[in-house]
Amino acid sequence: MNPSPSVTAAHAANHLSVRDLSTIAIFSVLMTVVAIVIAIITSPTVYLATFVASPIIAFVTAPIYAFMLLKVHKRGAVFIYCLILAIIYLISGTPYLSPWLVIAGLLGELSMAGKHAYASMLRITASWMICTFFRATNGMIDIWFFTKQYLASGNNRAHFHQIAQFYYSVPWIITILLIALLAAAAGGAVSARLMKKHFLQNGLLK
Amino acid sequence: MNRIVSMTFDFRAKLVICLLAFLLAAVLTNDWVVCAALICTVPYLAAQRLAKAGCLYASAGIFLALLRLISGQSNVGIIVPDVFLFAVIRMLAVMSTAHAVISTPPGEVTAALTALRLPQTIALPIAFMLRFLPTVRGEFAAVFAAMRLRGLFSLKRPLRAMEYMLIPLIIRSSRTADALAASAELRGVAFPGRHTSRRSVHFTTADWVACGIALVITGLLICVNEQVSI
Repeated sequence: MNPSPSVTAAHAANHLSVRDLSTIAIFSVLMTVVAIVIAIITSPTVYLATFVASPIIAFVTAPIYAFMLLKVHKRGAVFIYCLILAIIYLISGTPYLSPWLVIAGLLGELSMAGKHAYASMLRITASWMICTFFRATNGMIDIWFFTKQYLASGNNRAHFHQIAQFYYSVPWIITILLIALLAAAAGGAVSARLMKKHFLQNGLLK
Repeated sequence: MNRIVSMTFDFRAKLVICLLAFLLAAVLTNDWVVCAALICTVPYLAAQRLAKAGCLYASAGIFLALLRLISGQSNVGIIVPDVFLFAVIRMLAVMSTAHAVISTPPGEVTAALTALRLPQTIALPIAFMLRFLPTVRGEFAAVFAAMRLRGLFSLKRPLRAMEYMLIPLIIRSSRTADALAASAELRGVAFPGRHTSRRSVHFTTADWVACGIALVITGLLICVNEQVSI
């Protein structure tokens, strides 16, 4: 028996369509490319890589993330985005970070619970802050649990000690994460303005 | 129905070889061993009519390794910091094998992912990402060119510059996403029944041999790296 049209419409409204999956994939690539470029530019200096890279990435890519969620407008978008990031980490030589990103996806999705969360810039910013928090801790996880691999990847001991002095100090960890979270929140605020100015006012997005 | 048979390796074989390159990039510590890995990818890429790209990756790797040799791996480097060069040499090894993965026709990617029985929520984004990746540079270049033409490329007002860069990029990418989705839907991707493909995907003897050789080379390079690093 064929499902009734109303059941099919409700299914289509709640489930991610091919267009939604395509949007999440393309915007995830865009965010990843921007993040890689910023990470490469800031990598030569320890201080830039430790304190500035994550906040700049969070701030600059926030409008892309906000547009992606506003366009998809369905539950599961945050989780699929984090899953794509987890796959990217899996194949880029840091598979141990993948489960971390899956947890970020679950928590991010949890923060988007409720009926109109995908239309609220406040909720979108909250989920973006969760994603940023998990991404900002990636470097710390490298140093805390995978020191051998980190040293094997061409970083000498002096460089390691320079970074370790920050990543083994609680006040510095809080500072680094706080800067990243503030940048994510600022990115969310700027995104809200940009989305309203360019997409929401003229009806391009709901 | 005429089936299209792939003239190169199966997508899954390319994926396995790419994963091995990722493993080597993460494990190898000696530049010259990485260069050896890059040289090994030249015949692999040449078999897929990508010899020029293969030679380019290998020569770039050797050039950067020479730069590191001249600088004495002092962490300061000649043009750019040593750690950065170290990362780029390893990235080249990954990029050379990823080149083969990215240049796979999207239809073949979808057929191979379907054969792997991956859920659609994972398989489709992967296929879309691989289709979009080669055009990303073009998207950025077009936006930057337009900004330069209008004299908007200025770092004096970074927030404004960010807006002028991101908004066109978002609009262009959104259009691309819609076009890709429409193209996929036209091919019946959203259809809930069993999917067939004009692309014939088979893991042939050549694929097994390529994966076997790649596995042996990976093992050998890791052993050589261990010996050299002592």
